[in-house]
Amino acid sequence: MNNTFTALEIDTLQEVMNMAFGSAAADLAEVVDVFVQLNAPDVQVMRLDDLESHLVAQIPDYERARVVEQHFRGESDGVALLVFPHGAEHQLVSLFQSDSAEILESDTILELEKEILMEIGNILIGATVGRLFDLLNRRIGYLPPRTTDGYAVAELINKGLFAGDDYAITVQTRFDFEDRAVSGRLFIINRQQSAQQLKSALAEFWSSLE
Amino acid sequence: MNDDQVLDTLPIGLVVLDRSYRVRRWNHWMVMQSGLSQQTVLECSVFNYYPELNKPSFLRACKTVFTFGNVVYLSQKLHRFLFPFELPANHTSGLTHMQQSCTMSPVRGDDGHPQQVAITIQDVTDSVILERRLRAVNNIDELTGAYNRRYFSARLREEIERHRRYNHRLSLVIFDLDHFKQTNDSIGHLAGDHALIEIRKLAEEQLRDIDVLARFGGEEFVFLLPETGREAARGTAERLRSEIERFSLTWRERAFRVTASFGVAELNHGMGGETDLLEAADQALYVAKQKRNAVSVAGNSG
Repeated sequence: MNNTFTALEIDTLQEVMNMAFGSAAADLAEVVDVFVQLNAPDVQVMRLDDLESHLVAQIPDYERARVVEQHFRGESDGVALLVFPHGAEHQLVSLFQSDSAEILESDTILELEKEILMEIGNILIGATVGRLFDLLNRRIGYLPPRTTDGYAVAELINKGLFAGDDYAITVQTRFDFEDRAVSGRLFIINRQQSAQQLKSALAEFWSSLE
Repeated sequence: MNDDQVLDTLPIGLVVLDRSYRVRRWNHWMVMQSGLSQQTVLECSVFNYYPELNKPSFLRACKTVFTFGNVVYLSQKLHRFLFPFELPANHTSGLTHMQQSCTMSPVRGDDGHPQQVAITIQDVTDSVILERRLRAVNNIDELTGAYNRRYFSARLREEIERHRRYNHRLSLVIFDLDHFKQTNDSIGHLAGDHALIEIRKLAEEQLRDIDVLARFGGEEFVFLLPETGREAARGTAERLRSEIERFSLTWRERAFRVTASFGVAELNHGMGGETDLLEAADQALYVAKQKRNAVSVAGNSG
């Protein structure tokens, strides 16, 4: 299996993530005008086949979790999943409420919460995943985000978008927004054919530190 | 064709701003919609002409593009519109402004860092109108114009979730026209339909904007009263009962009257969810039905 990452590659990935998340926290605070704390991420690499059982074990009430899914293309090809526990959007809404949003009779509050979650997800994914690939000197572009639920991972495989032996980089972190403690988890899933590209990028990054 | 001519062929708006929010590009679509020529706006702050944009959500979106270099999507559902282009006064949709779906993307300089933001503006007004019509067809009871049961169930679930989140009070009232079959049989089904429409109007007059009235089926209506305890809900039900009793209906010059029975219930911590609340109100209605033209509250003796 050529998607196995060596210990050095995983260490390098952890290092890049630490740097990406470190600078992302300060930038996020400026962008959203609230204090955002990103804990040091815990990075693991696993087969996509194993990711779902990992998520079920890690996230309470996983099937009802709110997931922001955003695909990216370019010099790396994959999808970022930002997983919030069920109900987290309610806590975030007041911080990100749009000043121009008027609630029309035909809208439901839940739909607006979904839209707000997508905007938050877009910012967080841009801040972290974008910064990761910036550091690795790889250019990527994003497709529009969408919200889904805990079936997101199974759906990606069932629809043939990804294969079970594609790999997932799981980045477990906790986003704290001011006094609202919201545990978000970020997962980056890359296609098998992108594995080699990522390995090259990590090697370049590692040698640049030497 | 040069780039400007190509951009002018786009059936969407394209605006490019620099880091000081000065306009660097303003395509033909924007000229047509805004009435402002390129010469007028180029090099000027966009806030000079659109001070409405100087608000947290837009500034946050710009910062996101400049800081992270990612694309920001401003959905119509959440933002309605970015540039306030007024629709003609005779627009039949009830919308005052063009509804817009916008994207904001980085334009990078030679150093690879975002130097400008390219904003695309797509007119989605027709889609919004169509969506509203479809929603109305899907949510409104065709005969009475009240919400239908499907919509009510969705709103009930939302309100129960809100009740749990904020611990606000929530009451539900079911009411049913008494001896409605006799009305249909003696005066005719069209008279019955007319009565249902008039009762819906009477009920709406008694309810607030935040309350949700729906036809639950046949001659049965239901309304949801957010932020309301059972005693206040009983008061509302009693006023409506009295209004219905006093109201004189007329069908083809024949006057007739109807009465209604009401079951009231308030959501409490012992209840599991919507089914429990509906069942409690339904049981109260059953008690009221023994008397007719009465209001009964769940958990009370009468």
